[in-house]
Amino acid sequence: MMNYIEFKDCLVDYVSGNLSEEKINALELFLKENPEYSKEVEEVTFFWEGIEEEIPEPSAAMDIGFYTMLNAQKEKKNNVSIFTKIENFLLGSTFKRVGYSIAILTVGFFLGKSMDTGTLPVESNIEEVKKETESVRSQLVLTLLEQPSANKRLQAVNEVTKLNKVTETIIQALFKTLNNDDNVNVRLSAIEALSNYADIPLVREGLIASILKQESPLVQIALADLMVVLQEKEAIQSFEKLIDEEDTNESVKQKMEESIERII
Amino acid sequence: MDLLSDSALMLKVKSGDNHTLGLLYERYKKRLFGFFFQMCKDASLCEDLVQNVFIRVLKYKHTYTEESNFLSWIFKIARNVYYDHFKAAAKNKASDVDELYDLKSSDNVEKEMEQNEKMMLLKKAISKLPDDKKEIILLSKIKGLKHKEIGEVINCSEGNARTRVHRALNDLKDIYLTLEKR
Repeated sequence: MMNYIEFKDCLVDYVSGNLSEEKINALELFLKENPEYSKEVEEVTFFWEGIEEEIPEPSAAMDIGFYTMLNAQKEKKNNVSIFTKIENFLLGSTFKRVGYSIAILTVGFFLGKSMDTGTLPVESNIEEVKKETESVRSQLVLTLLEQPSANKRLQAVNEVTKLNKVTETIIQALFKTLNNDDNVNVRLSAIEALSNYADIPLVREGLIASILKQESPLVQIALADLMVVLQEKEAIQSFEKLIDEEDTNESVKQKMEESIERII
Repeated sequence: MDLLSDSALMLKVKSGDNHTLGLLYERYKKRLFGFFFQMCKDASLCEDLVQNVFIRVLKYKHTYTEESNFLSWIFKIARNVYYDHFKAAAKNKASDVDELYDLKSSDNVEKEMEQNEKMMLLKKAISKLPDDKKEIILLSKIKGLKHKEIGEVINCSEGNARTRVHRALNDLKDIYLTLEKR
C-alpha cells in the first residue's frame, strides 16, 4: 500500500510516464482512497504540460536543404575516392610510381595522337556521380510519396520529372498515387508525370485502366485530354462506360463524347 | 515500403548506404525540430540545426554500433549541435515571452482569464528556467526517452537523470510561485 511520501516521490515519474504498471496501479489506488491529493497531481501535470507549446511546421526549405546535403555528400564521396586514388599513387612505392608514370606517358601519347576517340576516366566518374544522384532522387521520390502532407507528395511527383530514367518501382508508386491519393492536385500531377512515359506500353495501359477508377471530374477530364493527345483508341470503351454511368458529372459526359470524336 | 527499425537503417547508413539517411530524416525531423524550437524559438535556426544533426550523423556514423539506441544516440548529437551553436554565439538571446505567447482575447470569461494568466505566468517561469533544466524536461517529454535513455544522452546514470528531471520541475514550480507572489 502506497503512503503519502511514496506518492509524492513518484508523482513526477507518474506524470512523465516513467512508472511501472504496478506502481501506477498503487498510485491510482492511493488517489482513490485519498482524493484530496488529486490536486497535487493536477499541479504537477500543469507544470509538466505547460512546458510543451505549439510548434510550427518546419518549412519545405529544410527538406530541400537536407536532400541537397545528402546529394552533395554522395558526390563528395565520389570525389574523395579520386583524391584517395591520387594520394595512394603519390604515396605508393617508387617502383609503382615509375610504373604509373610510364603508363600515364604512354596513355598521354596515344591520347594525343587520337583525340577523337576514347572516353576519359573523369567522364566515367561523372557518369557514376550522375547515377548516384539519380538513385538518391528516386529514393527521395519514394519517401516523399509516402508522406501525409499533400505538399510533400506534390513535391515527390515534381521530382519525378527531374529523373532521366524511371524505374518500375517509381512507375508503380505513381500509379498508386494516381489511383488512391486523397488529394486531387496530387492525382493531377501524377497524370502529368506519367504522361512523360506514355511511350511505355505498361504506362499507357495503366492510364487507360485508371479512367474508371477516378471519381473526381477534374481527374477524369485530365485523363480524357491525355488520351486525345495520345490518340489512344483503347480508351474509348472506358469513356463510353463513363457516359453510361448515372453518377458521372454532366460536363464529364460531354467531355468524354468530344474526346471520343477527336480520337476517331 | 519496408518498415525497418531505426537501428537497422542507421547500420545501413554506417555501411555506406547513405541514401537510407533520408528515411531516418523523415522519421526524426519533426521531433528534432520540435526539441530545438522549444529550446530557442527560432524556426529558421532550428531548421539549420536539424540539418547539422544529420551532417554529424554522417560524420560520426562509425561510432554507431548494433548495441546503440538510435533515439538516445541522435538526441545526444542534437544536444551537442545545439550547445556548440550557442557556444559560438556569445550569449543566448532572451526572448520576449509576452510577444511570443500573445494570447487570443478571451471572451471576458473570468475563468478563462484566470487560466490565461496562469499560462502566461508559466511561460514566463519557463523562460527564466536555466537552459539545462529546460532541456532535461524537454528530453523527458520525447516519446521513447525514459530516464535510462536520458542518462545515455546526457552522460549520467538512470537515477541521476531521474533526480535531474525532478529537480528541474521543482525549480520551475518555485520560479512560478515567486512570480505569482509579485
